[in-house]
Order: sequence, then structure tokens, then C-alpha cells
Amino acid sequence: MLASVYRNTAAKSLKSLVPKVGATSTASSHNLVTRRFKSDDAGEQEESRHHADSLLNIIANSINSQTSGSVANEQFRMARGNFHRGDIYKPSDLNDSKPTTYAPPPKPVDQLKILKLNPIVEYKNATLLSHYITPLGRLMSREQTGLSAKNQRRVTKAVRRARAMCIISPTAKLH
Amino acid sequence: MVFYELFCISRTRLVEANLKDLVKQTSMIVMNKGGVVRNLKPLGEKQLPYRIRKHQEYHVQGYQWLMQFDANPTVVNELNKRLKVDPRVLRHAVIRLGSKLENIVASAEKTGTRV
Repeated sequence: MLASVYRNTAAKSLKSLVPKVGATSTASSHNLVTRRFKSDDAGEQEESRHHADSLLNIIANSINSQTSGSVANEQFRMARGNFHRGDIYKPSDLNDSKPTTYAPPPKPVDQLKILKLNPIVEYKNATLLSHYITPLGRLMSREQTGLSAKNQRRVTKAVRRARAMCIISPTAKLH
Repeated sequence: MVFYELFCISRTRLVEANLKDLVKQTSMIVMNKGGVVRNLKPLGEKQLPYRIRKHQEYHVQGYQWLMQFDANPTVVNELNKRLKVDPRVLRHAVIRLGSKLENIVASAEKTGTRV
């Protein structure tokens, strides 16, 4: 099915984007002998910041800030054999050329699960949490964030904690 | 031992000696009770997202810092009591990070927050 292909490629593309953090230390020690200089620490910090930024970009791009469009659902509804009493239809809906079933909308991918982030530990990270609140500072629903139930609960807890601790504004998205 | 994290917002424009004294006092509370202070991290002076009222004053800016430590749960009570009364502290929260170091470190490395 087309849907399953889409689903798998979405998950794979997200995974491939994230560089594995822990892998380099053991792998490189076998092959290379690297000398550590004092200036390396500055580079490391920059690298980790760059890494953090790329993570945030991944999250930002995969959030659907509007509730999922009902276009696909509407098409599914209008397909032949799916009429119900009281429905409104167009003449073209009665054409035989339309396929009988449509692919359901793609299943949302939980970014935090793939990136292996625990939102509760990141309660201090206003930039990360800002992705899960609307411009008015309200928490997004699970439809919009695409998170699993468990992670949605954790994000909610983290945001409420951050609000209480004066890290996030309850009425605006500042970061 | 359980791993805790104290996230504290103290007043801005404290004299450096005063701020150091505050941080030292809170660390000593933990250490006197047999705890271990693992990390003291300054997070900088920031504009607060909303106005705070504390100790009969309004505050718009605060100096954020972080203390990570292992200690008994009884120490947390003591900390909270002292920080609530301290006039230099605006907000404080002691958060339990977990009981296993591996879980905490693995998660923190990803977003560049150092444990």
C-alpha cells in the first residue's frame, strides 16, 4: 500500500538525519590516533550546539501546526459506496472512474521517540518546548504535535513545569 | 542516593560575593547531610517571561543557576525550607532526575545540556 511506503520512508528519513552521538567515540579509537588540544573543547561545544540546532530543525519541520486537514478524509468519504443518508454529493462522485478506496492519511511519526529525547529532563530547554506550544503559549494537541500518548503527557508535564519555574511564558511563545 | 537537580532563579544585581555566598550555602546544606554536589552551572541573567512577585517586590529579571547533586530525600525538604525564606531567591525547584546515572546522561547528551 502506498500509505505504508510513505510511513516507512518518513521514519527512515528522520532517523538518517540524526547523527549517532555515542558511536564516534568507540569506532574512531580503533582507526585513528587523535591528539587532543585545548582548542578542541571550543570546537566540541560548537559542534554540540550545531547538533542541538539540527535536532530542533527536525522537530520544527515535522510539526503540523494546524489540525490535520480533512481533504483525504473527504475524498475517502466521497468514494463510491461510502454514501450515507443526508450526504451532499457532486455528479462526478457517481463516476465509475473513481477508485473504491483511498489511502488513509499517513500515520504521524513521534519525533521525540526517534531522537530518544525525554521531554521531562528537558524542562529547562525553552527552545525545545516552544515547538509544542502555539504562538499564544497554549499547548498543542496530540493531533498537531504527532507525538505518542506517553510523550504527549511528558511534554505537557514539562511545559507546565517550565511555566511554573518562569522558563516559559504561559501566554506567548518567545523562543 | 538519588540524583536531584536544583533549578534556582535568584535576584539580579547581587554583589558577586553575595551570589557566591548563596550558592555556597545551598551546597553546604547538601554536603553537611552527606550528599554530593556534582555540578554547579550558571545559566545567566535573563529577562523573565512574566513578572514575579517575591519578598514584597516585583521582579522582571533573574539570574538562573543550576545545582546537580545526589542526596537523601530528607535533604530536599531542608533545602526547600531554606530557599523559601532566603531573600535572594526568587524561584526554586528541586527536580528528581532519576535513580540511574546512565539514563540521565544518555538523554542529556543529545540536546547539548551537560550533566
